[in-house]
Amino acid sequence: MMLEGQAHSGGNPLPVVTLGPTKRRLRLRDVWITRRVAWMIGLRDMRVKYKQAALGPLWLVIAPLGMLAALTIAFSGVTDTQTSGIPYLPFVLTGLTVWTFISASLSLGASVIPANVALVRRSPLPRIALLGGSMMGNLPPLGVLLAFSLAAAIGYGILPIQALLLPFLIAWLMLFTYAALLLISPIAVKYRDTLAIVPLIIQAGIFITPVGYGIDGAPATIKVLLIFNPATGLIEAWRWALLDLPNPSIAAIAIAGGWTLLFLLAGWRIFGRLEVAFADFV
Amino acid sequence: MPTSSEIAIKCENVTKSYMLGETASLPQTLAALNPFRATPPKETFQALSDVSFTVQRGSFFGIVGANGSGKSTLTQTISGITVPDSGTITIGGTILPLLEVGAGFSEDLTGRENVVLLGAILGIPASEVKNSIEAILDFAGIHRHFDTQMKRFSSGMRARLSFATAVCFPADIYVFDEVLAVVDDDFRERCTTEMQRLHGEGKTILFMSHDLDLVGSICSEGMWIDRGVVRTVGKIADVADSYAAGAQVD
Repeated sequence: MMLEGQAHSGGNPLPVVTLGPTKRRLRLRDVWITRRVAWMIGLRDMRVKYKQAALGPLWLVIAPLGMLAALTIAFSGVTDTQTSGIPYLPFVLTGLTVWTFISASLSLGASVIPANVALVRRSPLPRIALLGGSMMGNLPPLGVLLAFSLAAAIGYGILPIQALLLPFLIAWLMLFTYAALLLISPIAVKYRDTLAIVPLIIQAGIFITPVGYGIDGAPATIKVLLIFNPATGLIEAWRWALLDLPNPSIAAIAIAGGWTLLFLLAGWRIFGRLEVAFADFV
Repeated sequence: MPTSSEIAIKCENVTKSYMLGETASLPQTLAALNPFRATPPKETFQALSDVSFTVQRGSFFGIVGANGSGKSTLTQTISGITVPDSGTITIGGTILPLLEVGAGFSEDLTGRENVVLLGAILGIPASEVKNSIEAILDFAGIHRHFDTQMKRFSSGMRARLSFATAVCFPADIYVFDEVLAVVDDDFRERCTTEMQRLHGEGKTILFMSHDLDLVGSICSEGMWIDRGVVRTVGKIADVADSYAAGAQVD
């Protein structure tokens, strides 16, 4: 018994890895392998966000209500926006659901590598896990807003049958956001300029994205510009699925799909190419 | 004849440089845009120059060197955190690096949450993490604080939990970089006992320090690295002698 055990522990074949100069080491399966740690990093971000706050996770409900009130005053109160016959409350809530997830994910995700500098410089964790983790940290606000949107759509009795496509729409929203993060987050490691650009995109973006208004009421030239905003297509698709939006802009939806694919392919290349030097530059 | 299965770490001609100066700034951008003047190439600094050494499986290997000698760059390279400019490193077995006290811990999480997160970061299966928690608690001796946020920990408690987590998780090769510098004598004593226990179980241990006495007393073999260049590799006594002599000459 003893001898067997000793022989076993002595000749146990161990995994052998060779490390050397490389331009990229990221593999697609790293995304899958690191799903547990990505989830735990997301969980950490969720926990940390409301720790030492007297109202704690209640802010998940209060924050979107504040945005809802502001958008309603601006677009339904000051300017009487056109919503294709859909009641304003579910209309704005659906837009807010999509927009809040994209903007919150971008603002956290753009700086996710510098924010986790200790992990990047001192642990062998595949950095791709940090992206998924930072995005997952924004799932609770997405869930709250989605629940509000569904409740409003049901309350007004306008929830159509195509609402069954909701899982695909959520998957698309997450894929788009992940692709945008692949593209933008590695740049911040060398050039912190993105940390100045992203808040600008978010602050200006809510005015040039049909969150509080619909694109149908816009003049033709402005409408063309809005259609090239990737968030427009996503919101159009969501409003069609949850609120039966008549004549959703197929062009906007197709363009948003194109942006998603482009961001995904370009982002995967750029992230993988820059990831090898993260520890040296962060 | 040493076969590949008897080698834990093999570094062959590993070289790594870093760029000096700021990565990006407005003056640099303006200079790069100036078409009348070529941008001078950035200066580089060689942190590791042609480093070669082998650590046998089951060895307790010490690396000594002054601050800035390249020890940390070497551990980062071996742990797969950064990539060398040239050369190759072969690692036989799973590697668990502890490169800084508290690395991977989040201030706002509790001790327990941090241990579970660190386990996931190091790729330890969830069941193994669960099994290790009791041993980690015993070793760190912080039972009462385990469910308190890390920011309420003293630096000693943080260091104890950090070290306890590393030695209680399963791996074939353990890498410790200057981690015993901040703990008191009593805990350092227990840490060295624990490292010797791991060594007794056939684990490979790579221990970096600028503390020659400590390395000399616990390691059997070692290496002296000086400004990125390997000066001596072999029995720890020879390494210690040459390091002590060399440090005097400089």
